[in-house]
Amino acid sequence: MIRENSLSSRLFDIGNHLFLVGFALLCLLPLIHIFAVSLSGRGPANGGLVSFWPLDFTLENYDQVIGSRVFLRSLFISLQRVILGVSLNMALIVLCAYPLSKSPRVFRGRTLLIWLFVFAMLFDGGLIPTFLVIRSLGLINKLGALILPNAVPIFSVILMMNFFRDVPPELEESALIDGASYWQVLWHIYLPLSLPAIATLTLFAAVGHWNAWFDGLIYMTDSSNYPMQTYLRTVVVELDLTRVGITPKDLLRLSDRAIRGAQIIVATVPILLVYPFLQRYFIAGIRLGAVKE
Amino acid sequence: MIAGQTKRHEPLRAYMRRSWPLYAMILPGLLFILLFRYLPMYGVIIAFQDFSPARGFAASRWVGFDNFDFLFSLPEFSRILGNTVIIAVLKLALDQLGAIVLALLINEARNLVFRRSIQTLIYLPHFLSWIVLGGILLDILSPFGIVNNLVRALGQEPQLFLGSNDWFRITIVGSSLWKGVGFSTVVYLAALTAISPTLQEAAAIDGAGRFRRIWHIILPGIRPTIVLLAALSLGDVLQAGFEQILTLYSPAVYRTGDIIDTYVYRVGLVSAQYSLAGAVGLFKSVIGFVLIVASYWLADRYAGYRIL
Amino acid sequence: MQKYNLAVASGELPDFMETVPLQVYSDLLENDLLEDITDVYEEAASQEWIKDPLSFGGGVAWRLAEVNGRKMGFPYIEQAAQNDKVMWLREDWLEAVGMGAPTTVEELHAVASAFKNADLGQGGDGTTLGLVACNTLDAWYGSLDPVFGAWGVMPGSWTPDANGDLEYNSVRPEIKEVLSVLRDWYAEGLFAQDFFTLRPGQTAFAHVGANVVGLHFSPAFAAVFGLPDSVANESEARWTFADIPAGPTGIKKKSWSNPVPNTVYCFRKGFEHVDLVLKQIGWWAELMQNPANRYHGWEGTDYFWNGDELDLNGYDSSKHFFGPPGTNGGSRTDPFFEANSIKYRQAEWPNTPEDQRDAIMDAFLGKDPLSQLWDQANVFAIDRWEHDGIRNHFTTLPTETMKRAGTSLDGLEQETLFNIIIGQEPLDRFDSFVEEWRSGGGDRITGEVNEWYHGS
Repeated sequence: MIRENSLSSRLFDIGNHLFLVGFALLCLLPLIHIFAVSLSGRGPANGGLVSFWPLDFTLENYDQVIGSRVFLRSLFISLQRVILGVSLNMALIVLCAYPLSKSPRVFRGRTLLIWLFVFAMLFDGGLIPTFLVIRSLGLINKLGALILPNAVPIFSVILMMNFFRDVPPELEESALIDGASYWQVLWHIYLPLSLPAIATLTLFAAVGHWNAWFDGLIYMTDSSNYPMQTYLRTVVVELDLTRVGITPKDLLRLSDRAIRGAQIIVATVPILLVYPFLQRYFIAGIRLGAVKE
Repeated sequence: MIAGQTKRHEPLRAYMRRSWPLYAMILPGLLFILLFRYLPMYGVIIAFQDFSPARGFAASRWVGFDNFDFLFSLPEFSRILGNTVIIAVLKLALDQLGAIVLALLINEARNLVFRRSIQTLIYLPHFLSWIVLGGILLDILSPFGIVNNLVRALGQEPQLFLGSNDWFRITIVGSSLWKGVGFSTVVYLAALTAISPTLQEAAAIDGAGRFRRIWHIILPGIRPTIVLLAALSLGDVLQAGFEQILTLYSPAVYRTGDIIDTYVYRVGLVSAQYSLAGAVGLFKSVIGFVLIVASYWLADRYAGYRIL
Repeated sequence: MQKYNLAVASGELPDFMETVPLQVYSDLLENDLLEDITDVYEEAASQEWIKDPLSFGGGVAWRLAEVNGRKMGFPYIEQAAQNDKVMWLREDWLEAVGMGAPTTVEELHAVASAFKNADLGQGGDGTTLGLVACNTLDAWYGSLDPVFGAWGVMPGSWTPDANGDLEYNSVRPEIKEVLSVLRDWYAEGLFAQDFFTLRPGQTAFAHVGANVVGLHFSPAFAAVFGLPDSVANESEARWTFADIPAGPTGIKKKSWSNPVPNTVYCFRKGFEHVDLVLKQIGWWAELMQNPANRYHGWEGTDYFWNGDELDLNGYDSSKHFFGPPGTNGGSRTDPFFEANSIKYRQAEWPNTPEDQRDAIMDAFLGKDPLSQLWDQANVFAIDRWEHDGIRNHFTTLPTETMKRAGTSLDGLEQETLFNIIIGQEPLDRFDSFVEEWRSGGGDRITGEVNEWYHGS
């Protein structure tokens, strides 16, 4: 561990810590705001009177959310999606990135393949043809429609490929001389050295799956198959009352900021649980880096 | 002969006997891409048609470049293109720059618990959608919101951060930076972990100050990541943030805030103009692709990087 | 819209399509993908509960569903005056400033200024507003349409001029007069400084619910949207409603809600059971609309008994509606259904002997003051619906030039009108806007609109 004790260096440390704490608080405020709203009574919440502290404290909103079968079902669908989707993403990212990290002499056709990947990242056939492909595969209303079309996140493949390139080539060369196959090299040398990158990209993939809503809207014709963000979207966006038959009950449900706040909080908790888990891997990555030299 | 030095004239059979796993590895991913990305690409023809969903791709009328002509002939075209590029480039540049600086600052904090807490907190806004954040921003940026109350307390005139053409872009870029910059540090922090601490310690022992250490050892260490992300972000110079602007803009700030995507969205409200949307999508893809190829070539030619 | 287009493009039309957007409907018609229901309608539709109610207004219900004399869809009907505005007022504030409900725009200005100057609002010092406005001039909540109506114009609407040709209201000279008034009001601080960034529904929370305003033009349902929050935040808040104010020449008009919106129900060509769908629609219509047969809900579906306690928690209001299957009943066959229901609960229900009432009706009828205010405002708006509305006479698909130039022109209009109101552009900018609008496609659109109007 480096120790620097000059005055300017210590002043920098103090300033740095203060800045980071300040910025972190700034990031936290909106969530605190929503949290406070979710714990507030309906009147003050809808009147916009709540800032960072609940008014007319109540747990009623959470009662409503937890009691809502539709919301819980969508939450469950999202969890399934994240677990299956991220596993598939990571397997394919690693398997694509490893060959692509080789030079064209070692992996013939690499140049063509990498451009095939990059081109696919930028060009998009559009909504209707993609829909037709997914429908002809019989994926409408199936979890597969949310997982398979983006099974290969190309941007992540490129990042992973770049990490693999940083692995010292001598490790691979000596293993190959010892008779190891590429499979073994990938499994025993590359993967253990790339844990930080894998953890990072897992987080990317998980966030992508967790926050996606548009595909749910398009590929799930039955709204009981909506993942959580799609459901939230319909609740938050459908504030336009000109098209719905109106009863006081509907209005209550549609207009209630406090209940929406509670839903957002419940939807964010799983992410808060995932962080520390993945961050432990970042730190494992740092130690490995030290051993590496 | 070892793997790294395969000669060009090595017989294919010998090459394949050893290298087939590489092809086997990439095959599943390639199939997914062919199936879900390349197969639907015939859909770009929509941009050259007057597409009607009922008639489908085969029977819709061909109109050549009419949709592009229409797009380029819009009286507002230069305005929405300008807004799009300005907002997108500012966002990309500030987000990259901010993420690098923030990652370096976090890297300088040595206490692991502190670092982890900070990281956890600064990623948070990334997970909130613009619909949710938009509501909060409207609240806190309103004339009697927290921000303007602070402005008043400092003896300044309150500002319409979302309603004035002087402020709108600043608000958009600023809020986007605030939302995304924390999470953007992830890639750099991961890259920073790959820099050898031994090298850093050696530099410290040599008496290199903190800033010189950052400049001469750490920054070069993450340079490939910086170059890669900068090059790939060129593909996004026309992505100004549709959802965010749609949530926050209003007619009074069309002059500075109306972008291609929001304009096309409004066109779509009048009638489902899939063909126009297709033309816009293709236009954006082509520009993005040209820029990426150019940056690839430049990096290879002048800096000796292979970024892909 | 997207979902329908995807269904159409993939060749898998549902048998029955609810609330189909006009653009999709015309695409389906053009490509002969819809079932002609003219004959089966004659046979299967109930005379009393479908055919008769749908013949209101000289057959206007069929303006979209009937094409060249053939019924290609089933009409979507909204309730009369559903979005027509009344003037909502804080009664306690009127008393505090010693004024009565305004009857002219001039008095409206006086009352709004008095509310603001007395700073009666619940927010911090100086935060009280005079009148609600939002990012849409003719909005579904907190609208300014009665102010424009006081000069006889409605932005965005097409109305006949002296020669019987349709004229686009947003470019009429009266608009400039209204803008000049609104501009002064904004400068005086009667509107929220950032009103033009707020969506209509947001003002219900941010202004009405937060009790920073005591005056707004909103539909009857404001009594249960916005007002309850206001009362929850300030228990002394007392709201009332009144008629919209008259303009300088005595004109008193507002935006008119068309009971036949731009959407229809339709059937896939070849669908064999149209008769069954129509019968079901008739069955629901009778169940709900027959005065002798008031719908009281079903135990076990709409309500439950917990001992002697009525349990409405399992109640799903969407089941309370009726209408074509799968639509959750946004539509009814009779635009006066709601009006009739209200008259029933105002006139007949109180006279029904206690022992003949049932608990579920008691619960639905609502005895709280705001629900009653809702009913009263609804009847009030329905009574004035025929007379006070400025009707948009352009009621078909966008014309060719509208499709091409409409977005540009709309953008130009919105940007200009709002910037004039908030003082970012001079008032005379309106004249150059009218020129730009005309030369930018507006004249062509006017021609096309009138071609359609005189042709139909």
